[in-house]
Amino acid sequence: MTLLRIILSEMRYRWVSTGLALLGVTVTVALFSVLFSEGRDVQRETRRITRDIGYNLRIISGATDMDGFWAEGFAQETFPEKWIHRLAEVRGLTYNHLIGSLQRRVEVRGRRFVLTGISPEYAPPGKKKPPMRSPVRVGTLELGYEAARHLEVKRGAQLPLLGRTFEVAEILGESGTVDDVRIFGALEDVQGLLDLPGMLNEIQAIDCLCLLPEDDPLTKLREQLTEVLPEARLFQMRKAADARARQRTLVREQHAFLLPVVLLACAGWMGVLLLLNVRQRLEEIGALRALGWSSGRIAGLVLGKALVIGAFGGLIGLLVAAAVTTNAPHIFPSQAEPLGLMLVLGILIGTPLLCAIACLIPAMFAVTQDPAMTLRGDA
Amino acid sequence: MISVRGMGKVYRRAHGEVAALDHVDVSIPEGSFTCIQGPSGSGKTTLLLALGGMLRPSSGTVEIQGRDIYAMPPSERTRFRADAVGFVFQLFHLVPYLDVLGNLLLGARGSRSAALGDARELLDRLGLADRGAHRPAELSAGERQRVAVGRALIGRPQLVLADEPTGNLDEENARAVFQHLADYHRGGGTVVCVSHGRDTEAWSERVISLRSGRIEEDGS
Repeated sequence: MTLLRIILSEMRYRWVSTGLALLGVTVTVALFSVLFSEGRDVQRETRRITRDIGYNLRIISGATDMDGFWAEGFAQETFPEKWIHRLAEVRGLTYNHLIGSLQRRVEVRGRRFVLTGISPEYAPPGKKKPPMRSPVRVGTLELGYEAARHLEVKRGAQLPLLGRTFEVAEILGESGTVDDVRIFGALEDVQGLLDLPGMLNEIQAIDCLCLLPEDDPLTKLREQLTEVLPEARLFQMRKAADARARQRTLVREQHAFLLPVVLLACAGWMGVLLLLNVRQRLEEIGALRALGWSSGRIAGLVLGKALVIGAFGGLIGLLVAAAVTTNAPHIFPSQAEPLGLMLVLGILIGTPLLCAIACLIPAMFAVTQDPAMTLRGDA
Repeated sequence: MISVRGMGKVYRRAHGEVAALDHVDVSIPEGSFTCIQGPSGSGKTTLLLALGGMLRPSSGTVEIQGRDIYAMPPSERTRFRADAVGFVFQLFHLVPYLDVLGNLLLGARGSRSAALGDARELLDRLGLADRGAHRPAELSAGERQRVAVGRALIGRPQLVLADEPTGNLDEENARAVFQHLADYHRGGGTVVCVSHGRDTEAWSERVISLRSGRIEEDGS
Protein backbone atom coordinates (compact mmCIF):
# COMPACT_ATOMS: atom_id res chain seq x y z
CA MET A 1 0.00 0.00 0.00
CA THR A 2 1.68 3.23 -1.13
CA LEU A 3 1.89 6.31 1.06
CA LEU A 4 0.04 8.36 -1.56
CA ARG A 5 -2.84 5.90 -1.63
CA ILE A 6 -3.09 5.99 2.16
CA ILE A 7 -3.00 9.80 2.11
CA LEU A 8 -5.72 10.01 -0.54
CA SER A 9 -7.89 7.49 1.31
CA GLU A 10 -7.55 9.49 4.53
CA MET A 11 -8.40 12.72 2.72
CA ARG A 12 -11.53 11.14 1.26
CA TYR A 13 -12.53 9.71 4.63
CA ARG A 14 -12.06 12.99 6.53
CA TRP A 15 -13.50 15.04 3.72
CA VAL A 16 -14.75 17.88 5.92
CA SER A 17 -11.36 18.74 7.38
CA THR A 18 -9.72 18.05 4.02
CA GLY A 19 -12.26 20.31 2.35
CA LEU A 20 -11.59 23.07 4.86
CA ALA A 21 -7.86 22.84 4.32
CA LEU A 22 -8.33 22.76 0.56
CA LEU A 23 -10.69 25.73 0.76
CA GLY A 24 -8.16 27.66 2.83
CA VAL A 25 -5.37 27.01 0.35
CA THR A 26 -7.61 27.72 -2.65
CA VAL A 27 -8.83 31.02 -1.22
CA THR A 28 -5.29 32.00 -0.26
CA VAL A 29 -3.84 31.19 -3.66
CA ALA A 30 -6.70 32.95 -5.44
CA LEU A 31 -6.36 35.97 -3.17
CA PHE A 32 -2.59 35.98 -3.47
CA SER A 33 -2.70 35.68 -7.25
CA VAL A 34 -5.31 38.40 -7.62
CA LEU A 35 -3.50 40.68 -5.17
CA PHE A 36 -0.18 40.00 -6.81
CA SER A 37 -1.50 40.54 -10.30
CA GLU A 38 -3.70 43.47 -9.37
CA GLY A 39 -1.00 44.94 -7.15
CA ARG A 40 1.48 44.75 -9.99
CA ASP A 41 -1.02 46.54 -12.22
CA VAL A 42 -1.79 49.15 -9.60
CA GLN A 43 1.91 49.76 -9.09
CA ARG A 44 2.44 50.13 -12.81
CA GLU A 45 -0.58 52.40 -13.11
CA THR A 46 0.63 54.45 -10.15
CA ARG A 47 4.03 54.79 -11.75
CA ARG A 48 2.39 55.98 -14.94
CA ILE A 49 0.08 58.43 -13.18
CA THR A 50 2.78 59.83 -10.94
CA ARG A 51 5.07 60.15 -13.94
CA ASP A 52 2.36 62.12 -15.70
CA ILE A 53 2.32 64.58 -12.81
CA GLY A 54 5.40 65.77 -14.66
CA TYR A 55 8.98 66.74 -13.97
CA ASN A 56 9.73 67.53 -10.38
CA LEU A 57 13.37 68.60 -10.55
CA ARG A 58 14.70 71.77 -12.15
CA ILE A 59 18.39 72.34 -12.72
CA ILE A 60 19.58 75.80 -13.63
CA SER A 61 22.83 77.70 -13.62
CA GLY A 62 24.19 78.49 -10.19
CA ALA A 63 24.58 82.10 -11.34
CA THR A 64 20.84 82.53 -11.94
CA ASP A 65 19.17 85.62 -10.51
CA MET A 66 16.39 83.87 -8.57
CA ASP A 67 14.13 86.97 -8.36
CA GLY A 68 14.11 87.16 -12.13
CA PHE A 69 13.72 83.41 -12.41
CA TRP A 70 10.59 83.26 -10.30
CA ALA A 71 9.16 86.45 -11.81
CA GLU A 72 9.77 85.32 -15.38
CA GLY A 73 9.26 81.58 -14.90
CA PHE A 74 12.63 80.64 -16.36
CA ALA A 75 16.29 81.62 -15.98
CA GLN A 76 17.88 84.31 -18.10
CA GLU A 77 21.28 82.79 -17.47
CA THR A 78 22.30 80.01 -19.78
CA PHE A 79 24.76 77.14 -19.45
CA PRO A 80 26.36 74.73 -21.91
CA GLU A 81 24.23 71.97 -23.36
CA LYS A 82 26.97 69.48 -22.47
CA TRP A 83 25.76 69.63 -18.85
CA ILE A 84 22.87 67.41 -19.73
CA HIS A 85 25.21 64.95 -21.44
CA ARG A 86 27.41 64.88 -18.35
CA LEU A 87 24.43 64.15 -16.16
CA ALA A 88 23.24 61.44 -18.54
CA GLU A 89 26.60 59.72 -18.35
CA VAL A 90 26.64 59.32 -14.58
CA ARG A 91 25.94 55.77 -13.45
CA GLY A 92 23.78 55.48 -10.34
CA LEU A 93 22.18 58.88 -10.69
CA THR A 94 18.71 58.90 -9.17
CA TYR A 95 17.35 61.40 -11.72
CA ASN A 96 15.70 60.19 -14.86
CA HIS A 97 13.84 61.55 -17.89
CA LEU A 98 16.38 64.38 -18.28
CA ILE A 99 15.26 67.00 -20.76
CA GLY A 100 17.05 70.23 -21.58
CA SER A 101 15.33 73.43 -22.62
CA LEU A 102 16.13 76.92 -23.81
CA GLN A 103 13.37 79.45 -23.16
CA ARG A 104 12.92 83.06 -24.02
CA ARG A 105 10.00 85.45 -24.36
CA VAL A 106 9.37 86.35 -27.97
CA GLU A 107 6.86 88.62 -29.65
CA VAL A 108 4.89 87.26 -32.59
CA ARG A 109 2.21 89.29 -34.31
CA GLY A 110 2.12 91.74 -31.40
CA ARG A 111 1.68 89.10 -28.71
CA ARG A 112 4.26 87.65 -26.32
CA PHE A 113 4.86 83.96 -26.08
CA VAL A 114 7.45 81.72 -24.49
CA LEU A 115 9.64 80.20 -27.16
CA THR A 116 10.88 76.89 -25.79
CA GLY A 117 13.42 74.67 -27.45
CA ILE A 118 13.45 71.18 -26.05
CA SER A 119 16.10 68.53 -26.36
CA PRO A 120 15.48 64.83 -26.76
CA GLU A 121 15.02 63.02 -23.44
CA TYR A 122 18.10 61.47 -21.85
CA ALA A 123 18.44 58.76 -19.26
CA PRO A 124 21.36 57.78 -17.06
CA PRO A 125 23.06 54.48 -18.05
CA GLY A 126 20.80 51.49 -17.54
CA LYS A 127 17.71 53.59 -16.83
CA LYS A 128 16.40 54.02 -20.33
CA LYS A 129 12.62 54.33 -20.30
CA PRO A 130 10.00 55.41 -22.81
CA PRO A 131 10.20 59.22 -23.07
CA MET A 132 7.60 61.30 -21.26
CA ARG A 133 7.42 63.71 -24.14
CA SER A 134 7.97 63.02 -27.79
CA PRO A 135 10.62 65.31 -29.29
CA VAL A 136 9.75 68.17 -31.62
CA ARG A 137 10.96 67.49 -35.13
CA VAL A 138 13.51 69.94 -36.52
CA GLY A 139 11.80 72.53 -38.73
CA THR A 140 8.48 72.18 -36.97
CA LEU A 141 6.74 73.83 -34.03
CA GLU A 142 4.19 72.70 -31.49
CA LEU A 143 1.90 75.42 -30.24
CA GLY A 144 0.28 75.74 -26.86
CA TYR A 145 -3.49 76.09 -26.83
CA GLU A 146 -3.61 79.87 -26.28
CA ALA A 147 -0.68 80.49 -28.61
CA ALA A 148 -2.46 78.69 -31.44
CA ARG A 149 -5.71 80.52 -30.69
CA HIS A 150 -4.10 83.96 -30.72
CA LEU A 151 -1.98 83.25 -33.79
CA GLU A 152 -5.02 81.69 -35.50
CA VAL A 153 -3.06 78.79 -36.94
CA LYS A 154 -3.94 75.15 -37.31
CA ARG A 155 -1.98 72.00 -37.59
CA GLY A 156 -0.05 71.89 -40.86
CA ALA A 157 0.04 75.69 -41.24
CA GLN A 158 3.25 77.57 -41.96
CA LEU A 159 4.27 80.02 -39.24
CA PRO A 160 6.99 82.65 -39.71
CA LEU A 161 9.08 83.07 -36.55
CA LEU A 162 12.10 85.32 -36.00
CA GLY A 163 13.00 85.29 -39.67
CA ARG A 164 12.36 81.58 -40.39
CA THR A 165 9.23 79.71 -41.37
CA PHE A 166 8.18 76.56 -39.54
CA GLU A 167 5.45 74.00 -40.05
CA VAL A 168 2.98 73.74 -37.17
CA ALA A 169 3.18 70.06 -36.40
CA GLU A 170 0.88 70.00 -33.37
CA ILE A 171 -1.60 72.12 -31.46
CA LEU A 172 -1.47 71.10 -27.83
CA GLY A 173 -4.55 70.74 -25.65
CA GLU A 174 -5.38 73.29 -22.99
CA SER A 175 -3.15 72.59 -20.00
CA GLY A 176 -4.00 75.43 -17.63
CA THR A 177 -0.29 76.24 -17.28
CA VAL A 178 2.26 78.47 -18.94
CA ASP A 179 2.54 75.70 -21.57
CA ASP A 180 -0.62 77.18 -23.12
CA VAL A 181 1.41 80.20 -24.28
CA ARG A 182 4.51 78.30 -25.31
CA ILE A 183 5.81 77.75 -28.77
CA PHE A 184 7.79 74.54 -28.67
CA GLY A 185 10.54 73.88 -31.14
CA ALA A 186 13.47 71.52 -31.55
CA LEU A 187 16.34 72.65 -29.35
CA GLU A 188 18.74 73.25 -32.20
CA ASP A 189 16.15 75.36 -34.07
CA VAL A 190 15.49 77.53 -31.02
CA GLN A 191 19.21 77.83 -30.27
CA GLY A 192 19.64 79.08 -33.83
CA LEU A 193 16.71 81.51 -33.63
CA LEU A 194 18.00 82.95 -30.34
CA ASP A 195 21.61 82.89 -31.45
CA LEU A 196 22.56 80.79 -28.46
CA PRO A 197 24.10 77.72 -30.07
CA GLY A 198 24.86 74.85 -27.68
CA MET A 199 23.20 76.58 -24.76
CA LEU A 200 20.36 75.71 -22.36
CA ASN A 201 18.81 77.58 -19.51
CA GLU A 202 17.16 74.65 -17.72
CA ILE A 203 17.26 70.92 -17.33
CA GLN A 204 14.17 69.21 -16.01
CA ALA A 205 14.12 65.70 -14.59
CA ILE A 206 12.19 63.31 -12.42
CA ASP A 207 13.58 62.33 -9.08
CA CYS A 208 13.59 58.53 -8.82
CA LEU A 209 14.57 58.39 -5.17
CA CYS A 210 10.91 58.66 -4.21
CA LEU A 211 11.82 59.49 -0.65
CA LEU A 212 9.18 60.86 1.65
CA PRO A 213 9.64 64.52 2.70
CA GLU A 214 10.69 63.45 6.20
CA ASP A 215 13.65 61.61 4.65
CA ASP A 216 14.98 64.89 3.21
CA PRO A 217 15.37 63.88 -0.43
CA LEU A 218 16.53 67.35 -1.51
CA THR A 219 19.81 67.16 0.38
CA LYS A 220 20.58 63.79 -1.19
CA LEU A 221 19.67 65.03 -4.65
CA ARG A 222 21.79 68.14 -4.28
CA GLU A 223 24.73 66.07 -3.08
CA GLN A 224 24.49 64.00 -6.24
CA LEU A 225 24.32 67.07 -8.44
CA THR A 226 27.24 68.82 -6.73
CA GLU A 227 29.46 65.86 -7.50
CA VAL A 228 28.72 66.09 -11.22
CA LEU A 229 27.89 69.76 -11.80
CA PRO A 230 29.12 71.91 -8.93
CA GLU A 231 28.28 75.05 -10.89
CA ALA A 232 24.59 74.10 -11.20
CA ARG A 233 21.71 74.70 -8.89
CA LEU A 234 18.86 72.29 -8.22
CA PHE A 235 15.49 72.65 -6.69
CA GLN A 236 12.59 70.37 -6.36
CA MET A 237 8.94 71.01 -7.12
CA ARG A 238 8.01 69.78 -3.71
CA LYS A 239 4.30 69.17 -4.04
CA ALA A 240 4.66 67.11 -7.18
CA ALA A 241 7.65 65.23 -5.80
CA ASP A 242 5.98 64.58 -2.44
CA ALA A 243 2.73 63.43 -4.04
CA ARG A 244 4.68 61.08 -6.27
CA ALA A 245 6.78 59.72 -3.42
CA ARG A 246 3.84 59.29 -1.03
CA GLN A 247 1.61 57.56 -3.55
CA ARG A 248 4.29 55.20 -4.80
CA THR A 249 5.45 54.38 -1.29
CA LEU A 250 1.90 53.75 -0.13
CA VAL A 251 1.12 51.36 -2.97
CA ARG A 252 4.45 49.56 -2.63
CA GLU A 253 4.10 49.15 1.12
CA GLN A 254 0.50 47.99 0.91
CA HIS A 255 1.56 45.38 -1.58
CA ALA A 256 4.54 44.34 0.49
CA PHE A 257 2.35 44.05 3.59
CA LEU A 258 -0.68 42.27 2.17
CA LEU A 259 1.03 39.42 0.35
CA PRO A 260 3.00 38.06 3.31
CA VAL A 261 -0.07 38.43 5.53
CA VAL A 262 -2.10 36.30 3.13
CA LEU A 263 0.66 33.68 3.02
CA LEU A 264 1.06 33.62 6.79
CA ALA A 265 -2.69 33.28 7.24
CA CYS A 266 -2.68 30.30 4.89
CA ALA A 267 0.28 28.71 6.64
CA GLY A 268 -1.37 29.20 10.02
CA TRP A 269 -4.67 27.76 8.79
CA MET A 270 -2.97 24.69 7.33
CA GLY A 271 -0.82 24.23 10.41
CA VAL A 272 -3.78 24.37 12.79
CA LEU A 273 -5.95 22.08 10.67
CA LEU A 274 -3.26 19.46 10.29
CA LEU A 275 -2.34 19.68 13.95
CA LEU A 276 -5.98 18.91 14.76
CA ASN A 277 -5.85 16.17 12.17
CA VAL A 278 -2.80 14.62 13.78
CA ARG A 279 -4.42 14.75 17.21
CA GLN A 280 -7.40 12.97 15.73
CA ARG A 281 -5.08 10.28 14.34
CA LEU A 282 -2.96 9.50 17.39
CA GLU A 283 -4.47 6.04 17.72
CA GLU A 284 -3.78 5.30 14.08
CA ILE A 285 -0.23 6.63 14.38
CA GLY A 286 0.31 4.43 17.45
CA ALA A 287 -0.91 1.39 15.53
CA LEU A 288 1.35 2.20 12.58
CA ARG A 289 4.28 2.53 14.95
CA ALA A 290 3.45 -0.89 16.35
CA LEU A 291 3.49 -2.19 12.76
CA GLY A 292 7.03 -0.91 12.40
CA TRP A 293 6.46 2.35 10.58
CA SER A 294 9.49 4.63 10.85
CA SER A 295 9.40 8.28 11.93
CA GLY A 296 10.08 9.31 8.36
CA ARG A 297 7.07 7.39 7.07
CA ILE A 298 4.83 8.78 9.81
CA ALA A 299 6.04 12.33 9.02
CA GLY A 300 5.47 11.50 5.36
CA LEU A 301 1.79 10.86 6.09
CA VAL A 302 1.38 14.40 7.42
CA LEU A 303 3.72 16.22 5.05
CA GLY A 304 2.45 14.23 2.10
CA LYS A 305 -1.09 15.27 2.89
CA ALA A 306 0.06 18.90 3.09
CA LEU A 307 1.80 18.55 -0.28
CA VAL A 308 -1.28 17.02 -1.90
CA ILE A 309 -3.58 19.69 -0.48
CA GLY A 310 -1.08 22.37 -1.51
CA ALA A 311 -0.88 21.00 -5.06
CA PHE A 312 -4.65 20.74 -5.52
CA GLY A 313 -5.36 23.99 -3.67
CA GLY A 314 -2.71 25.81 -5.71
CA LEU A 315 -4.18 24.59 -8.98
CA ILE A 316 -7.79 25.36 -8.07
CA GLY A 317 -6.79 28.72 -6.60
CA LEU A 318 -5.00 29.66 -9.81
CA LEU A 319 -8.05 28.75 -11.88
CA VAL A 320 -10.26 30.84 -9.58
CA ALA A 321 -7.83 33.76 -9.77
CA ALA A 322 -7.64 33.54 -13.55
CA ALA A 323 -11.42 33.49 -13.78
CA VAL A 324 -11.78 36.46 -11.43
CA THR A 325 -9.13 38.65 -13.03
CA THR A 326 -10.35 38.04 -16.55
CA ASN A 327 -14.10 38.09 -15.92
CA ALA A 328 -14.54 40.86 -13.38
CA PRO A 329 -13.09 44.02 -14.90
CA HIS A 330 -15.63 46.09 -12.97
CA ILE A 331 -14.02 44.87 -9.74
CA PHE A 332 -10.50 45.14 -11.07
CA PRO A 333 -10.55 48.28 -13.19
CA SER A 334 -6.93 48.04 -14.15
CA GLN A 335 -7.88 44.82 -15.96
CA ALA A 336 -5.11 42.66 -14.69
CA GLU A 337 -3.15 40.86 -17.32
CA PRO A 338 -3.52 37.10 -17.43
CA LEU A 339 -1.42 35.56 -14.67
CA GLY A 340 2.20 35.42 -15.75
CA LEU A 341 3.97 32.14 -16.38
CA MET A 342 6.43 32.75 -13.57
CA LEU A 343 3.60 33.45 -11.14
CA VAL A 344 1.79 30.28 -12.20
CA LEU A 345 4.92 28.17 -11.88
CA GLY A 346 5.83 29.84 -8.60
CA ILE A 347 2.41 29.09 -7.16
CA LEU A 348 2.26 25.51 -8.43
CA ILE A 349 5.63 24.77 -6.87
CA GLY A 350 5.51 27.17 -3.95
CA THR A 351 2.07 26.30 -2.57
CA PRO A 352 2.78 22.64 -1.80
CA LEU A 353 6.11 23.65 -0.30
CA LEU A 354 4.51 26.37 1.83
CA CYS A 355 1.88 23.90 3.02
CA ALA A 356 4.57 21.36 3.86
CA ILE A 357 6.56 23.96 5.78
CA ALA A 358 3.41 25.02 7.63
CA CYS A 359 2.90 21.39 8.61
CA LEU A 360 6.35 20.78 10.00
CA ILE A 361 5.05 21.31 13.53
CA PRO A 362 2.14 18.87 13.14
CA ALA A 363 4.55 16.38 11.54
CA MET A 364 6.97 16.77 14.45
CA PHE A 365 4.06 16.33 16.82
CA ALA A 366 3.06 13.11 15.06
CA VAL A 367 6.59 11.76 15.11
CA THR A 368 7.35 12.61 18.71
CA GLN A 369 4.14 11.21 20.17
CA ASP A 370 4.82 8.23 22.38
CA PRO A 371 2.80 5.46 20.69
CA ALA A 372 2.74 3.47 23.91
CA MET A 373 0.73 6.25 25.55
CA THR A 374 -1.98 5.94 22.91
CA LEU A 375 -1.93 2.19 22.77
CA ARG A 376 -2.19 1.94 26.55
CA GLY A 377 -5.12 4.31 26.40
CA ASP A 378 -3.31 7.16 28.23
CA ALA A 379 -3.53 9.74 25.48
CA MET B 1 13.94 -16.83 23.12
CA ILE B 2 12.76 -13.68 24.91
CA SER B 3 14.69 -12.83 28.03
CA VAL B 4 13.59 -10.05 30.37
CA ARG B 5 16.04 -9.19 33.16
CA GLY B 6 15.40 -6.83 36.05
CA MET B 7 12.83 -4.85 34.14
CA GLY B 8 11.30 -1.87 35.91
CA LYS B 9 9.09 0.83 34.51
CA VAL B 10 8.20 4.03 36.29
CA TYR B 11 5.68 6.49 34.85
CA ARG B 12 6.12 10.10 35.82
CA ARG B 13 2.77 11.69 36.45
CA ALA B 14 1.79 15.17 37.60
CA HIS B 15 1.04 13.86 41.07
CA GLY B 16 4.20 11.77 41.34
CA GLU B 17 5.78 8.57 40.08
CA VAL B 18 3.92 5.33 39.47
CA ALA B 19 5.86 2.08 39.32
CA ALA B 20 4.16 -0.10 36.70
CA LEU B 21 6.79 -2.85 36.73
CA ASP B 22 9.21 -3.67 39.48
CA HIS B 23 12.23 -5.85 38.75
CA VAL B 24 10.56 -8.39 36.50
CA ASP B 25 12.58 -11.40 35.32
CA VAL B 26 11.05 -13.73 32.80
CA SER B 27 12.13 -15.95 29.93
CA ILE B 28 9.78 -16.91 27.13
CA PRO B 29 10.93 -19.73 24.86
CA GLU B 30 10.58 -19.49 21.12
CA GLY B 31 7.45 -21.16 19.80
CA SER B 32 5.59 -20.96 23.11
CA PHE B 33 2.09 -19.65 23.87
CA THR B 34 2.29 -17.63 27.07
CA CYS B 35 -0.50 -15.88 28.87
CA ILE B 36 0.17 -12.94 31.17
CA GLN B 37 -2.67 -12.46 33.60
CA GLY B 38 -3.43 -9.96 36.28
CA PRO B 39 -5.89 -7.34 37.41
CA SER B 40 -6.10 -3.88 35.83
CA GLY B 41 -3.04 -1.79 36.65
CA SER B 42 -0.83 -4.79 37.34
CA GLY B 43 1.58 -3.85 34.52
CA LYS B 44 0.54 -6.41 31.89
CA THR B 45 0.21 -4.01 28.97
CA THR B 46 3.39 -2.20 30.00
CA LEU B 47 5.27 -5.50 29.93
CA LEU B 48 3.76 -6.42 26.54
CA LEU B 49 4.64 -3.07 24.97
CA ALA B 50 8.16 -3.30 26.39
CA LEU B 51 8.54 -6.79 24.87
CA GLY B 52 7.54 -5.39 21.49
CA GLY B 53 10.08 -2.57 21.57
CA MET B 54 7.36 0.04 21.98
CA LEU B 55 8.10 1.18 25.52
CA ARG B 56 11.60 1.64 26.88
CA PRO B 57 11.86 0.25 30.42
CA SER B 58 13.21 2.49 33.16
CA SER B 59 15.61 -0.28 34.15
CA GLY B 60 16.60 -3.77 33.04
CA THR B 61 16.95 -5.34 29.62
CA VAL B 62 14.80 -7.08 27.04
CA GLU B 63 16.69 -9.51 24.84
CA ILE B 64 15.13 -11.23 21.87
CA GLN B 65 17.24 -13.89 20.20
CA GLY B 66 20.21 -12.65 22.19
CA ARG B 67 19.88 -8.98 21.21
CA ASP B 68 19.00 -6.25 23.66
CA ILE B 69 16.31 -4.46 21.71
CA TYR B 70 16.65 -1.22 23.67
CA ALA B 71 20.37 -1.08 22.92
CA MET B 72 19.49 -0.89 19.24
CA PRO B 73 19.29 2.51 17.55
CA PRO B 74 15.62 3.58 17.17
CA SER B 75 15.62 2.99 13.40
CA GLU B 76 16.90 -0.55 13.87
CA ARG B 77 14.37 -1.22 16.59
CA THR B 78 11.65 0.02 14.24
CA ARG B 79 12.88 -2.36 11.54
CA PHE B 80 13.03 -5.18 14.05
CA ARG B 81 9.44 -4.50 15.07
CA ALA B 82 8.36 -4.42 11.45
CA ASP B 83 10.10 -7.71 10.67
CA ALA B 84 9.69 -9.74 13.83
CA VAL B 85 6.71 -8.56 15.88
CA GLY B 86 2.97 -8.50 15.34
CA PHE B 87 0.64 -6.65 17.69
CA VAL B 88 -3.04 -7.28 18.40
CA PHE B 89 -4.86 -4.75 20.58
CA GLN B 90 -8.06 -4.92 22.57
CA LEU B 91 -9.43 -1.86 20.74
CA PHE B 92 -8.28 -3.24 17.35
CA HIS B 93 -6.67 0.06 16.32
CA LEU B 94 -7.57 -0.51 12.70
CA VAL B 95 -7.09 2.39 10.31
CA PRO B 96 -10.66 3.61 9.83
CA TYR B 97 -10.32 4.97 6.31
CA LEU B 98 -8.76 1.86 4.79
CA ASP B 99 -10.78 -1.19 3.86
CA VAL B 100 -10.07 -4.61 5.34
CA LEU B 101 -7.61 -5.47 2.59
CA GLY B 102 -5.84 -2.14 3.02
CA ASN B 103 -5.54 -2.68 6.77
CA LEU B 104 -4.04 -6.11 6.24
CA LEU B 105 -1.55 -4.75 3.72
CA LEU B 106 -0.28 -2.20 6.27
CA GLY B 107 1.45 -5.07 8.05
CA ALA B 108 2.66 -6.82 4.89
CA ARG B 109 6.27 -7.12 3.77
CA GLY B 110 7.77 -7.83 0.38
CA SER B 111 6.37 -7.25 -3.07
CA ARG B 112 2.88 -5.90 -3.57
CA SER B 113 1.65 -8.88 -5.57
CA ALA B 114 2.95 -11.37 -3.00
CA ALA B 115 1.46 -9.30 -0.18
CA LEU B 116 -1.86 -9.15 -1.97
CA GLY B 117 -1.85 -12.93 -2.38
CA ASP B 118 -1.01 -13.41 1.31
CA ALA B 119 -3.74 -10.96 2.31
CA ARG B 120 -6.40 -12.76 0.28
CA GLU B 121 -5.35 -16.11 1.67
CA LEU B 122 -5.47 -14.72 5.20
CA LEU B 123 -8.91 -13.24 4.60
CA ASP B 124 -10.05 -16.69 3.56
CA ARG B 125 -8.59 -18.31 6.68
CA LEU B 126 -10.08 -15.62 8.91
CA GLY B 127 -13.51 -16.09 7.34
CA LEU B 128 -13.47 -12.56 5.92
CA ALA B 129 -13.19 -13.37 2.22
CA ASP B 130 -16.29 -11.34 1.41
CA ARG B 131 -15.29 -8.41 3.62
CA GLY B 132 -12.12 -7.29 1.88
CA ALA B 133 -13.64 -4.07 0.54
CA HIS B 134 -15.42 -3.14 3.77
CA ARG B 135 -14.22 -0.48 6.14
CA PRO B 136 -13.75 -1.26 9.84
CA ALA B 137 -16.89 0.71 10.72
CA GLU B 138 -18.91 -1.72 8.61
CA LEU B 139 -17.67 -4.77 10.53
CA SER B 140 -18.74 -6.39 13.78
CA ALA B 141 -16.35 -6.32 16.75
CA GLY B 142 -15.40 -9.95 16.14
CA GLU B 143 -14.66 -9.28 12.49
CA ARG B 144 -12.58 -6.24 13.36
CA GLN B 145 -10.49 -8.24 15.77
CA ARG B 146 -9.98 -10.96 13.18
CA VAL B 147 -8.73 -8.26 10.79
CA ALA B 148 -6.37 -7.05 13.53
CA VAL B 149 -5.10 -10.61 13.98
CA GLY B 150 -4.62 -10.89 10.23
CA ARG B 151 -2.71 -7.61 10.17
CA ALA B 152 -0.42 -8.91 12.90
CA LEU B 153 0.15 -12.23 11.12
CA ILE B 154 0.54 -11.16 7.50
CA GLY B 155 4.19 -10.20 7.89
CA ARG B 156 4.95 -13.68 9.28
CA PRO B 157 6.48 -12.35 12.51
CA GLN B 158 8.39 -14.52 14.98
CA LEU B 159 6.44 -13.05 17.87
CA VAL B 160 2.81 -12.01 18.26
CA LEU B 161 1.92 -9.83 21.23
CA ALA B 162 -1.79 -9.68 21.94
CA ASP B 163 -3.14 -7.20 24.46
CA GLU B 164 -6.54 -8.38 25.73
CA PRO B 165 -7.47 -9.46 22.20
CA THR B 166 -10.85 -10.80 23.30
CA GLY B 167 -11.70 -8.09 25.83
CA ASN B 168 -14.44 -6.65 23.63
CA LEU B 169 -15.70 -9.89 22.12
CA ASP B 170 -18.43 -12.39 22.89
CA GLU B 171 -17.50 -15.96 23.63
CA GLU B 172 -17.85 -17.24 20.09
CA ASN B 173 -15.76 -14.49 18.57
CA ALA B 174 -13.19 -14.80 21.37
CA ARG B 175 -12.85 -18.48 20.58
CA ALA B 176 -12.33 -17.70 16.90
CA VAL B 177 -9.58 -15.18 17.68
CA PHE B 178 -7.79 -17.60 20.00
CA GLN B 179 -8.12 -20.30 17.40
CA HIS B 180 -6.26 -18.12 14.87
CA LEU B 181 -3.54 -17.32 17.40
CA ALA B 182 -3.26 -21.01 18.28
CA ASP B 183 -2.96 -21.91 14.59
CA TYR B 184 -0.12 -19.42 14.26
CA HIS B 185 1.51 -20.90 17.37
CA ARG B 186 1.20 -24.43 15.98
CA GLY B 187 3.04 -23.17 12.92
CA GLY B 188 6.03 -22.34 15.14
CA GLY B 189 5.21 -18.79 16.15
CA THR B 190 5.60 -17.36 19.64
CA VAL B 191 2.49 -15.83 21.23
CA VAL B 192 2.37 -13.69 24.34
CA CYS B 193 -1.17 -12.83 25.27
CA VAL B 194 -2.25 -10.48 28.02
CA SER B 195 -5.57 -10.91 29.73
CA HIS B 196 -7.15 -9.84 32.95
CA GLY B 197 -9.56 -12.77 32.92
CA ARG B 198 -9.00 -16.51 32.76
CA ASP B 199 -10.23 -16.99 29.17
CA THR B 200 -6.70 -17.33 27.79
CA GLU B 201 -5.58 -20.10 30.08
CA ALA B 202 -7.12 -22.89 28.03
CA TRP B 203 -5.11 -21.88 24.99
CA SER B 204 -1.79 -21.24 26.75
CA GLU B 205 1.08 -23.49 27.68
CA ARG B 206 2.11 -21.19 30.46
CA VAL B 207 0.41 -18.58 32.63
CA ILE B 208 2.31 -15.76 34.33
CA SER B 209 0.40 -13.77 36.94
CA LEU B 210 1.34 -10.18 37.59
CA ARG B 211 0.26 -8.08 40.56
CA SER B 212 1.40 -4.56 41.32
CA GLY B 213 4.17 -4.77 38.76
CA ARG B 214 5.69 -7.99 40.07
CA ILE B 215 5.41 -11.59 39.01
CA GLU B 216 3.14 -13.22 41.54
CA GLU B 217 3.04 -16.67 40.00
CA ASP B 218 4.70 -18.33 37.02
CA GLY B 219 2.85 -21.43 35.99
CA SER B 220 5.43 -22.74 33.61
